[in-house]
Amino acid sequence: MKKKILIALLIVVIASVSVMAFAGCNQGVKVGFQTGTTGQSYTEEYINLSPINYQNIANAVQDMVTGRIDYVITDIAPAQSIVNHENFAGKVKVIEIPLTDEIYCFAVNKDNDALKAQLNEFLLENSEKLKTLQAEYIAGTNEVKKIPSGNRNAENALIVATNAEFAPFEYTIGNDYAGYDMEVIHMFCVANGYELVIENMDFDAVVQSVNTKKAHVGAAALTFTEERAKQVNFTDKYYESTQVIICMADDTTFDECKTREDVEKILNSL
Amino acid sequence: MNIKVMWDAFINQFITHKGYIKVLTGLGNTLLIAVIGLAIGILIGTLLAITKVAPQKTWHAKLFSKLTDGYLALFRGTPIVVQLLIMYYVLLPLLDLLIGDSIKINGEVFQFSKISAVIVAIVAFGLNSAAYVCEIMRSGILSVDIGQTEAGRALGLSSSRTMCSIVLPQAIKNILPTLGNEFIALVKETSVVSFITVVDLTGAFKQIGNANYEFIIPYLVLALCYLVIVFIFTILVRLLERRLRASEKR
Repeated sequence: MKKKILIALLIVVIASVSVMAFAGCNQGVKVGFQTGTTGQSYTEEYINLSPINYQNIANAVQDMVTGRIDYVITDIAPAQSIVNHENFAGKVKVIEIPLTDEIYCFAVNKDNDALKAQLNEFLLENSEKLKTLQAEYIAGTNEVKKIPSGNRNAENALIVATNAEFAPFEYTIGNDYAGYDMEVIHMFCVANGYELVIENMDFDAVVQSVNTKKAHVGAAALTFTEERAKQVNFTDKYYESTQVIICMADDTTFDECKTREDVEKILNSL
Repeated sequence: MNIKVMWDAFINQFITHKGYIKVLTGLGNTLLIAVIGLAIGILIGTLLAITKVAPQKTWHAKLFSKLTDGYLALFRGTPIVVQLLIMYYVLLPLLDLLIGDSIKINGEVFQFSKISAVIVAIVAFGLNSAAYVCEIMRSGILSVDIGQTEAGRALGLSSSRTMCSIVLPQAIKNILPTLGNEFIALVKETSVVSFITVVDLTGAFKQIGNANYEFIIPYLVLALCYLVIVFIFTILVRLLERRLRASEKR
């Protein structure tokens, strides 16, 4: 008798698990994004879309090309950088309609107002120079600067947490780093006599690292959000950005769209 | 897929742009965490095993045995990733409140953690491995005939002396293959340390793949690296085992 009940229980458990697994993988249109980014919170606003987490955008686009997901939502500059890369050129395209208005800021610890003030002062003093640099990066005409990471134990070390998988803002070249954020923070370190130490980590670890004082500055194309602002202090903005959709080159779903509302309507009806 | 293009892209990152420095640092971290982790594991694991096999006569022997049971339940009952995350993001900030370093920025003192993530990883893997080594060690100690202990005690050796110079050496010989298993598992498990910002072998190759969105070659080379490490270690364990069994007539 006991044996029969056990077997019945086992069958029920296996059946329910398989039903759940089946239901889980067949929910609506699949949209990929990088874990912890604005792309994630944007996608999750649409309950009809099924969100797929990735550790970086390149993997998401790779999966879209092989047909496992339908769309990728990410920031506009990295989207263009990936779409123009030889691996994906011609296969995918960017729908260049801004879906959000967001600003990138550097993150510093709540207790570290001095560093925040120093960074803000630097951003203000060099605003003209940074604007030119920014324009160069967007046009892709910037000079690629390799920025090495220094000695962590140096007395004047400034530890910068980043996720170097987000060209053109931060990416790696062999053992060195490059990108707009890295160049700006390098300029800041040179101007203020710090030794720049770059720590490369997963994106969702960047804010936590600054919050728990593992790093002084978070420089990872961090969008200002209220949730993050509860964890860390943000400096003034150094870049304006928006989320966009990447889709397959032959996908015509968004071709008719002119405005943000058009895109939202289609996303809601998918 | 063009293998030549993929290979050229990999070589470009790996050699021309000095990506191998990153890989060597990552390899160093992987080996450091695995080797020191296992050393901590064996040390603590043996102590724990002894509390489990010691005669349960006095109240403190019983207490230690119960504490060991709790330790085993805790460290074998949660995934290593969860343990890493808790140590790095929950316990370490608490520790930093006590012993955190401070630096001066713009004249203002700023509390700052100087315990690196690698050390947290070593401790986490050491404590985790201790739980497994404890059970391995206990089975090793139990596999040594009780007559050995009795003989030692009859010769007038203290119980701790009997354990250290008679039982443990024989036990270690018996469990060497299983300990080798534990180390191999440890080396491979370290690939999750990127959760707490440590760049290990896996992390290094992931970054190289990320630099040009080309993951096939880096991941294959990565798998090869792990294979080679495990292969070399297997040979070392075999040599050690042969040396330890030299006295046996079989």
